[in-house]
Amino acid sequence: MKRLWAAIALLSLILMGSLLNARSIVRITDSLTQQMEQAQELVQAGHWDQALLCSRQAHQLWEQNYFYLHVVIRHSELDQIACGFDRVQLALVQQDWNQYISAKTDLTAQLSFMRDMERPSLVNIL
Amino acid sequence: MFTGFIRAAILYLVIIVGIRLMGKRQVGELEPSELVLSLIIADLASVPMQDFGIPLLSGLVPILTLLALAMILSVLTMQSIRFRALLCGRPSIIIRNGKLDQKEMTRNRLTIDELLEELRGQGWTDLSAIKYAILETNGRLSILPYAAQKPPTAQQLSVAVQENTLPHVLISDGQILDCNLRALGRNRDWLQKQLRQQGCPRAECVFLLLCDGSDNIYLSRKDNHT
Repeated sequence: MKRLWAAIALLSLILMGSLLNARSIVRITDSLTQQMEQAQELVQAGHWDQALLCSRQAHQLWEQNYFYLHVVIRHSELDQIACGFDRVQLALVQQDWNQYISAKTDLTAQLSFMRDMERPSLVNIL
Repeated sequence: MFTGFIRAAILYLVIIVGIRLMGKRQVGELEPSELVLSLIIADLASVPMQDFGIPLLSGLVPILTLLALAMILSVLTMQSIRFRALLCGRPSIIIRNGKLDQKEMTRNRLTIDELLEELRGQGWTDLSAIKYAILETNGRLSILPYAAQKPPTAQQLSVAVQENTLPHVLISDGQILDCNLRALGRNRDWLQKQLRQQGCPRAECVFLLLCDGSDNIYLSRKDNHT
């Protein structure tokens, strides 16, 4: 009986851990997406410097969570997102609207895919 | 390379601990559910071991989940006979009173060649001498011959025989196992005396020394000390 309870405890722990992980991923990606949207609004208002600052803050948040994300997410996806941040910041420095909007759209799409992939939903299970 | 080394070590240890917790079955005696578990675990472990782009956790989580589920199922099979039959299946009687049950053979997809091979492997060539042949849930064939085909026992022959006790290993590859000496109620002085009697004064020269409760000793010397 001790083994049964140990196995049930382990399963519960894994289930809880996976739900907490999904919540953390949603929280991180939501706040990154929010900051990227904020940066776009600043660009549209012509405040390129402030947009760059906002984008750098988002990148910093990404770097802060990098270890955790590295443990739970496929590394190739993380590399793509890291490249996306670099492309967005380069476009902001060059103040190139077309390049910026393309890089930003790609980045938010990748963040959205990452969030959807970790979400505990029937679509993901099936 | 270092990542591969550490990952392989972690996954290996996790699997060994997990399989050890499952019980003492040997590979050849796996139930269908255990065989499936072993195959899936092997596959799951190999992916993060080779592909460093996949987090180690994505290999460990399914492995731990499977092991936990297998443990729950094994406890449930111990508790419920119905559940055990559902998960492990039931033994099938392939030969009953010397006659082949063809329905059971078809149901178990056992060909006549496979059956004959198994029977020959166990020393049986005459099917009419077999009262029952049972295909067990682990895939082994148990053969029960007619009473007339069985060798007589000492009881049937009314012969008084001495009951043997389980032999203990007292020296294994030159090392004295004190716990087994104590279990026999003996000590090292007694062991030294026995070794001298056997013409082998040092324990280092002994490859294997067995002794049962009646002080029957089996000694095998190391090849390089003869």
